[in-house]
Amino acid sequence: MAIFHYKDVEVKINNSGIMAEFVSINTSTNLEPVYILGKKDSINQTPNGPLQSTISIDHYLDTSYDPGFNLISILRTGHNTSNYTPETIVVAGITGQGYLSNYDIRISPNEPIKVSVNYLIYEDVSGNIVNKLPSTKFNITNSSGIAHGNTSFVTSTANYITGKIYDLNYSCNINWVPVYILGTKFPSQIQFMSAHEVFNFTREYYSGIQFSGQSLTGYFNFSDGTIDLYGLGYIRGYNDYLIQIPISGAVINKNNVSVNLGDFVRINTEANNYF
Amino acid sequence: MATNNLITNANFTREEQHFFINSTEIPGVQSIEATSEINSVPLVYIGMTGISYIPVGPQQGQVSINALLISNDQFIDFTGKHGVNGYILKKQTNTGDNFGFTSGYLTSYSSTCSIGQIPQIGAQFLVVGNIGKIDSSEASSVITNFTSITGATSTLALKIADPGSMTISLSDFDTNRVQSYSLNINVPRQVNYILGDRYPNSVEINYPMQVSLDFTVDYNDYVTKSIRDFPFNDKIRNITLVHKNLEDSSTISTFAFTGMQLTSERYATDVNGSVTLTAKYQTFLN
Repeated sequence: MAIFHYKDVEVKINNSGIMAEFVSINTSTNLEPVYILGKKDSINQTPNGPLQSTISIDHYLDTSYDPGFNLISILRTGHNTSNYTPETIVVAGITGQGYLSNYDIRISPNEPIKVSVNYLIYEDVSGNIVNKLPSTKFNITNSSGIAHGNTSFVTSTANYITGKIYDLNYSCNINWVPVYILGTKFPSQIQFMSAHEVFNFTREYYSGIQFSGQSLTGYFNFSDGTIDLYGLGYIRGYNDYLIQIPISGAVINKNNVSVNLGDFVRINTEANNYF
Repeated sequence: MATNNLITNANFTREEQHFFINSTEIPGVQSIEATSEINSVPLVYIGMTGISYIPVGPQQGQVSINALLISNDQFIDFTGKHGVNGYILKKQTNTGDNFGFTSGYLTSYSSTCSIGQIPQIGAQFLVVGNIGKIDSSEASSVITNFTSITGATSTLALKIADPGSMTISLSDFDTNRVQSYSLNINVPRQVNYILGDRYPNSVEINYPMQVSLDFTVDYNDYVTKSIRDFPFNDKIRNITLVHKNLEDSSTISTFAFTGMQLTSERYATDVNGSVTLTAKYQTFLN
């Protein structure tokens, strides 16, 4: 039995190479034991839910192509959900049709930005472990597109957001509803229902929440705003690769002031957006 | 005819290494060591093909300086919150030909002296700006420094301290029984970075600053402490250390610390010498 080393296999989404640091495929059969009166042991194990798999991937955020962000952008702008096509995910030759359920970015100064994503798979995961294909391309921008804390900004159309930002987290949880019909093993349709975005800023500047329902952009004293994640090429003056996450519509959820020994007072502000 | 590389190579000698902090030339420098490392790590991922590099972590450097205590102590003032620029110039009139650093923050200061030595100062800087060849366009402070350096006239008055011109005020022993001392000040720095900027937003002193002072004395009538005296009968002293010019006894530098606590004593004796005792005092500044 051959051992496949990490550099000899590939992770692809929609046939594009993903620079992943970690990936796992987890399949659950959702079986439960069946007990009957008069018998100590279970007589069988039967499905108590559909066969379902999840694929978790931690990867570098490539601003030239990020399937997770692309999907969120489509869903945010009102995709025709009845015709949604899942992503084709290949991990070392194992293939599944995935629906993005979690997308999580953590941005810190001086660090490359990494994304943690989870995909739900409602059908079979198939294939065999094989070596990567020579035709698969990775890092096509030669790192110019890799998002980095040094090339990340929070901006509005007017200016940079005031108050320095020390850390920024963004997450999006997507709710899919599979529609099953009798007599079939897999859902006949996967319906997008809703998405929940969470923005989390750490700053040194304190501003109290004025009222319940205050917008994040209003909190920053701007009418609009985006999180601009440029690729590393931005340092050399190239701004070809950009992922832009809108914060308009997000509403302040909570504010937290904390201080630790050896540190300054940090203000953590969380805002939510739903679509 | 073959060229003799040993003759034709243009090595820099000590007379061509003038060291300035901001716009002041530092006298008595014995050595300077500047270190910088590129903050690159290989981009490693599943299925990787070839190696490319990406920046991870802050871009910082370290500079260590050792100097004799001559004329005045140029380094002790940098234990504060402000950073400094430093330049090594071949000629004072040619600032373009330099090796330097910008935004250096003192992290460690030491002053030591033993019988038979000129007092020495050690200083370590954490560099969060740039390090290497510094262009005048680097920062407005660099332009100001270069202008002052090239316009300055040398008026360096040499004042040298030696152990004989040093006084230590501490009630436990006489100055003339001190064999050596070592003063160390640690200045922890917190460097704060924000998104979208490779340079720090601020550099703060992460208080408290630890000050430790070690004395080695010829053991005479010094009364040692018992370790069981702590915490109810510990030894707290105010200590003053003064360096004076050996020729005219004018003061070169003064250290005065209040509330220094005795934290360790070392009693040593052997067949070839007299009994010595090393006492370590410590305090914290905030």
